Formats: sequence, C-alpha cells, structure tokens
Amino acid sequence: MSDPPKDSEIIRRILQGETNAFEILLGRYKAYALRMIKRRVPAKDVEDVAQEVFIKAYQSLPGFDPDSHFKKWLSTIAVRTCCDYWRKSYQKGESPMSVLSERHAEWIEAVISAKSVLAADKLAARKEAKELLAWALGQLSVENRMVVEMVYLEEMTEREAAELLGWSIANVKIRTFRARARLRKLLSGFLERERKTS
Amino acid sequence: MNFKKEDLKKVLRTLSSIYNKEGEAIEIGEAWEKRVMVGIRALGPLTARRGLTALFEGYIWRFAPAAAALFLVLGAVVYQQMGFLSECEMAGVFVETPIDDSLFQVLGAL
Repeated sequence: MSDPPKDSEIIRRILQGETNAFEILLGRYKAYALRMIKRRVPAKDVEDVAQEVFIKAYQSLPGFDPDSHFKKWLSTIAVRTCCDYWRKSYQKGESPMSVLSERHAEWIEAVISAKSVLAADKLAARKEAKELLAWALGQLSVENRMVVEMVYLEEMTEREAAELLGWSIANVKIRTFRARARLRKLLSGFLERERKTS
Repeated sequence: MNFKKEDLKKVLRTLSSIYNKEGEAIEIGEAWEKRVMVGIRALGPLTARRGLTALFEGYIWRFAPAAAALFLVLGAVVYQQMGFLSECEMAGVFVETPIDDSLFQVLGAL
C-alpha cells in the first residue's frame, strides 16, 4: 500500500489546476481547524466560519511557502478569520451579551474561596461559568478578546499567540497586560455592584 | 471584598476549563464538506489566476529595494539640477551680501 501523499505534493497538484485535490487537505485538517473555531465562535456560526477558513486557504495557496507547515499556516488563517468574525459581529452590535445576576457573583466568590482544583472543576461545569465567560469576553475589544482566549484560556505562550495573530511579541504582552487589567476592573466592578444591591 | 490578582487568576483558570470544552458536541458532517468543495470548485482552478498573483508576490517585491535606491538617486539628480537652495546656502548668500549695503540702498543713502 502506498503512503498517503504529502501536503506539499497535494498543494503542487492544486496549483497545477487539480482543484479536487483540495478535498484531501480538507479531510486531513477539517477536525483540527474545527477544534480551533468551535471554541472561538458561537455554535450557530461554526460551520460558516469553518467554510470561510478553507475557502480563504484555497485562495491563498499561491502565496503559501512550500517549505513551511500547512497545518500552522491554516491555523493562522483560522485565528484571523475568527478575529474578523468578531470584528464584524461587534460592528453590527451582535455580540452575545449575557445579563449577569447575583448567581454569577456567588459563583465568582465560590471560585475564589475554592480550596481544591476538584472543587473549582465542579464550579466550571455550572451554567453560570459559561454565561460569565461570554459576558467577560463580550466586554473586551476584539484584539483583547483574542489575546485573553489564547494566553489565559488556551494557555499559549506569548510567542505562539504573536505568530498566530501576526503581531509582535511586545504588542501581545501589552495587550495581555491591558486585557487582564480590564478584566479585573470589570469583575471587581460587577461584584461591587452586586454587593450594594443585595 | 477586594478583587485581587490571585482571584482573577483563579477565575480565569476555572473559566479556561469550560472554554476548552466549548463546542465539543458540535459535529460537522459530510454535507458540510461537500458544501465547502462546491464553493472551492466555483472559484475555479488556481493556475489561471496564479500567473498574475505569483508575479506580483514573487517578483515585483524583490525589486522594491532597487526601485527605492533608483528613486533616491533620481531625486538627488533632479534636486541638483533644479537649483534648490538649502538653508546653509541661503545663509551663505546673506553672509556674502553685506546687509548694510542693501539697507543703505533701500533708504536711498547711496
């Protein structure tokens, strides 16, 4: 049985006009791209964003450096497409805005006072966690949102985040710092308000 | 209660576990794959469009440093030929022409 064709070989065939060869790349990297997209955009838009990613990848293939890794290149396109998705969504005023309540304040306080990782994991499974996450990310600018997702939620290094976003490491560091400060202000402000009303 | 840095870390760590599980249930079937391929085929083969794009990306930018250098050289030549006076040259002209002479001339004393 022959070995499956290498990415570079498939790309060469596509560039020679064999459009259908793209189906091999699509099948090979579909799951990987989807994993990246699923976390970053709402479930209802995952399919459309994933389609856009592969169409952009196809259109950009003539500029692809055959010596580099296709997977890494595709992940850059995926992250930047998600960034564009949020930009458009913010412009239209469509970003999902959950309304926080006393339950969320209690959840934050429970997390802060949780003594073990197990207890914190139990808390993460609660509905409040999901709503709070959507709210907090929705309060940030698109750029800060991407940085928080990559550095704090996915635990990427600043270098990795910079490569994917096409920014300098210094820019990522500054944005990380600002986003963290903003999040802290947002959450402490929310807790303060909830305490006053209760 | 004061919301400290450590508190934010704890909250983010807890939120990260939910974030990384986000969308786990979403499955994309063959229909989606077919839809993508329909879109790709509609764009047509890349070879026809590749000619111009590759020329632009691969070659034109390689000439950018040479073009910039040529622009600077031509700029310098044009600058010299048009006889622009630099600030130093202007100052030199003033120094060489004694101001009192022209002042007397203006006042009609000479």
